[in-house]
Order: sequence, then structure tokens, then C-alpha cells
Amino acid sequence: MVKDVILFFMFIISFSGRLALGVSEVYIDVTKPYFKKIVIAVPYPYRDGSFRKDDNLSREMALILANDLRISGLFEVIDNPLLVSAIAESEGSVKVDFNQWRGLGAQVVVKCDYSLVEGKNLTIRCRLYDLLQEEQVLGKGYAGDQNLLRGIIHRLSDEIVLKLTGEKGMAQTKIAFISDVSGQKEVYIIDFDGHNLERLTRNRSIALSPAWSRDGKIIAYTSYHEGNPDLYFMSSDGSHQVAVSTFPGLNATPDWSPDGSRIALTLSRDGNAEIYTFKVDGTDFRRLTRHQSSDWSPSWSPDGEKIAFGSDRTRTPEIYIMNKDGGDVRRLTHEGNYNDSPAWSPKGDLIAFASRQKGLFDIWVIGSDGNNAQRLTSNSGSNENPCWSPDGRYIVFSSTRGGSRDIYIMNSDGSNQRRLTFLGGNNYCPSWSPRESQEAFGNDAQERGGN
Amino acid sequence: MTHKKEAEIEGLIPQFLEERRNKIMVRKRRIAFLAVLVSIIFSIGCVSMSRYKQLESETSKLRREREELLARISEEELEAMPVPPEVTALRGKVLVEVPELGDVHFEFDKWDLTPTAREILTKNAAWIKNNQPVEVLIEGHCDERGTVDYNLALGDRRAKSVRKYLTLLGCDANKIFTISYGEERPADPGHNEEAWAKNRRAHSSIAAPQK
Repeated sequence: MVKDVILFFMFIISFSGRLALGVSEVYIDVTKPYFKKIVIAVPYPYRDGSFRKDDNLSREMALILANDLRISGLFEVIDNPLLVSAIAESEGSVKVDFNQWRGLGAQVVVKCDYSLVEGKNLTIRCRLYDLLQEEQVLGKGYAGDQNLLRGIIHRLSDEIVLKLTGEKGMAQTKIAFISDVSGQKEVYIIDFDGHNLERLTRNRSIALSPAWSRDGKIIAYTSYHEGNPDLYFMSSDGSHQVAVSTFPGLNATPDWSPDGSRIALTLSRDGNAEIYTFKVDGTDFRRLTRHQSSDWSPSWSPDGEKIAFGSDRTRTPEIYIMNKDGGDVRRLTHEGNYNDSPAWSPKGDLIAFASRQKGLFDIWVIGSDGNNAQRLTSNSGSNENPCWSPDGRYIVFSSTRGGSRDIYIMNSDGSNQRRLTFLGGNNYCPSWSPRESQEAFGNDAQERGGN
Repeated sequence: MTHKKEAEIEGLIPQFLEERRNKIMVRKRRIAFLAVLVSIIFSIGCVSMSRYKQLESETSKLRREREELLARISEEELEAMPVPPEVTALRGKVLVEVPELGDVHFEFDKWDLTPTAREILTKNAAWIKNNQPVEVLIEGHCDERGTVDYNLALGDRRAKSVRKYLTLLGCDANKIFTISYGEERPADPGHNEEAWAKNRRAHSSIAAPQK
């Protein structure tokens, strides 16, 4: 009891300390093209203040956290139990043996302590120590149902990334995509780390191109279940599916405007595919392109002023940029003869796209001024459908490198490529949720340590 | 003797002179005649030259006028006979396969109809016209080699070029509907030339007749 009170006070103190430090203290500047990864040690959390080597929950928490940190691409993680357990065991839950951790080459260490009340209410307190400054730089306590374990650890991971980089991590984001593993093409969502797979649609038809709204509450997608490729909205939990654009022909490839008020999409009601926008209440359809050739796949710039799109007006697919009213069209890509699926980066400086060479697609990025095209994937199957993470640090895409078509993520410089889906079947058309959607996930996991 | 001769000669002189004069006259007349002739010919030439000039100017005037008229002809490019757009999609209807309606296939990344495709569609059109009023759905499909999004647009164009041709062959455009499946519904799931050739197709079916 006394111990609890002490811990609680320590907690308050640590939290005030964190406030005093603020987030201005940035350890890695990830905006630099070549940053050095932070070496972080992740030992098993203690249970009720003591180290238990065989505790399954401890091991699971350490695994989730280490995995989140690895996926972020910002850390070199030391979590080998042979290395970290001995130190964690010898130093105990309330002390830090800075020398020993430094001896492993670590720069920071995360020490957590958890308890389970009534077998299901999880309380976890975590502290991040800077091993060079020999001080705590972050303290976070969480309480919630044990089922929310992953969500809690993802939150912790995001806080660690925020503390060390000045920008919140992506561990609480989700990725929507299409899978035909059920035999039909349906919309699924999956966590950033590849866990918590959830099927959202059961229309027994073809669903395509899901797109998260900017607040994360709605997913727009195309479905054929009424006998025409119509555009639908649904809640991000799959409920309340409603048709919003039902012209004869294509109602496809939606993209939300940055202010969330309009959707840009492809309609083929005019004889061929053209780009339109409409208000999210389903009114005010405006045609932006007028060309005998087809135009498709609109992607808004983050300031909402421009739209990138695919067009074969020069016979082969290339990427173009126009103003949001359809004016001032200019061609962006010139290399190769098949460039498609533009995705404008959240910071506005880059456009990711898929380019075909020798029959296979690779993901590229190009400056929005048309300069500095850079190839991010190579010699690894056909790579398509690039989509940015909301912080612009990552790109999610589909690839056939593993035999089947699956969802992969990579850092936006092409490093750290990882497979997310292992369902079987075809998995493609990924769309990254915004960070703002976090209220929708794990609302029940209350954050402690504030007031 | 001499005088006698001289007198004879002198007597002959006027005769001689007369003959000379006559000859000269004849010559003069001939010359005059020739001169007149020449002048007549010349004057005729003059008349025909001026006539020619007149004609020439009239002709060029006509030519100018004609050119002006030609220039005033307005010209416009005529597009193919417009195919009425699809006002509705063929939604919610049960589709029935018809063995008589053959599939047509396309070349890689193309949506124009091959001669073989036209033959098949001619037969399809005949069947459709014989079975009016039947509602026909044309599905446009692609092989997997393009992007998902591009192939949606390509399948749309394939289905629409079939619809257009059937309309040209006299089918009722209002009864022919299209849908693009892009690369989402391959006929052959393989990843080779043979499968791709099968998958680049337009397939036709009809709406089940309503009771």
C-alpha cells in the first residue's frame, strides 16, 4: 500500500518533469535524409515490482513494444532476453543501472511495471530513461481492460516516438485495404503493426479503393454489389454503409479533400473516365477534366489547391497536376511510359506513384515540381498502390514479392520494407488512417498520469 | 542604117518603158496586196488578242469569285454518330447467360475492335435485334498488367466500344448497358500470356425477362 502511494507520487513527479522538459528536446531529426537510429533497450516489464522471466504477459508487452519501435524505422531495438533480462533482474523495478545499459550500447531504456487487478484490469507504468544524461525523459501510466493491451502499448510507443523525435508515432494508426481471401473482394482494416485484422464489408461482391476521411471516422470505397461500381461511405467500423455517388459507369478512386468537405473521384458518365469533385453530402458535382482520353485517380495536395491524377492523353498513362478547378494542367512524369497511382505526400513536397518497367511496377517518388524522381522499390515483384502515412514518414503499398499480392510498408526513403498481411489471397489498395482517429480505437484505455 | 536602127530602138523605148511600168505596177500591186493582206491578217490578230485579254480577265474574275465562294464554305469535323449515353445502370437485375452472345477479345492495352471481334459482334447484334426488347449488359475486362485504377478506365472503354458498335449495327442503345470490372474478375487466374489474352475481353449477358 505504502509502495503504491510512493509509486503514485513518483508518477506525479515524473509527469511534471515531462511537462517541464516539453517536447522541444528532440533526439533525432527525422526530417534529415540520413538520421542515425536511436538504440533503445526494451526489457520485459516487471510485474508488481518484481522481475519474472516466465511471465507471458510481460513477454507479450515487450514484443509488441519492440515491434512497434522497429516498424517505426527510427530505432535499433535491443530486446534479446539473454542480454536485457539479467540487467533488468539485477537492478530491480525502481532503479536504473545506467552503466550496464550503456555497456550494451543502448542510448535509452524503457522500464515498465504492470499489475493485473481482478485478473483483467491492467495497470501499467512506464518510464523512458536517457542513459547519457542519466535521467528520466518520459513517464506514462495507463489503465484499462487487458484486451486493450495492444492499444495501450501502441500509445506508449507513440509517446516514446513523440518524445524522441518531436512528432507522434504511427503505432495507433490503421490501414484499410481490399482482400479477396473470403473469395469476394471486401474492405479490411489492420493495425500499423499487422495485427488486429478486421473485416468491414460483407457485400459478397467487389469492393475497391477504400479511402479514410481526414478525421478517420468515415471510409469511402467503391462497391459493385448493386450491379454498378458505385461509391459508398461507411463508418470506420463498417456500419452505416450508404451510397453517395451512383452514376452509370465508374464511381471510383475517391480521395478526400484536406479540409474534409469534398471528394475527388473518377466518373465515366461522359463516355470516358473524367475527374469530378463533389460535396460530401452528395451534392455539387463538378467536372474538372474534359478530354477525349481518360483521366482517373485524383489525389489532393495537402493545401487543397491542386490535384494530381493519371491520364493517358499522351497515349500512355502519365501523372498530371491541375488546379482544384481543373485549370492549369501540367504533366509531372516524363520518364518511362507507364506512370500511375499518384499519392501526394502530407508535407506537399513529394508525389509517390507506381511506374512500370519490363512489365513490373515499382514505387517511386518525385518532387511536386517534377524534379528528382527516385525509385524506392526494385527487384521485388510488382509494387503498386502507394499511400502515405499521415506524418509522411512511411509509404504503404501492395507487392507481389512474396508470391501473393500483399500489403507492405516502408520508410519514405525506401528503407525498412516490411510485410503487413499474411492472409493469403490478394491484398491491395491500401489507405492509411489519419492519427486523429485514435479516439475511435481504444477509447476505453484510460491514460493515467495527468491529473 | 544606123539611124534606122536608132529610130527603131527609140520607137521601142516607150514600149519597153511601158512594160517596165506595168511590171512595176504589178509588183506594186502585189506588194500592196500583200501589204493589205498582211495588214488584214495583222488587224485580225489584233482583234483576237484583245478578245483574248478580255476573256482572260473575265475568267480570272470568275476564278476569283469562285475562290471567294470556296473560301466561304464552312467546314466542320463530324464525329461518329453519337451514341446515346447510359441514363441508368442496369442495377439489381438478375443476369442470364446467353450462349449465342459471344465474348470478344482485345489486344494488349487496346479497346478498339479487331476484325474478329466485329464478326462476333455482328452475330451478337443480330441475336439482340431478334430478341427485342432485351436488356444487354456488356462487361469490360482487362488483364492484370496495368494498375488497378487504369484498368477500371480501360475496361470502361472496352465495354463502351462494344456498345457503340452494337448501336451502329442497329441495336437499341437504350437497352445496352456497360460495366467495367477492370482487372478484378479475370476469366483465367493465371499470370501468363495465355491467361492475359483470355482476360482482355468484353462479355455479354442479358437481364432476366420480367414476368
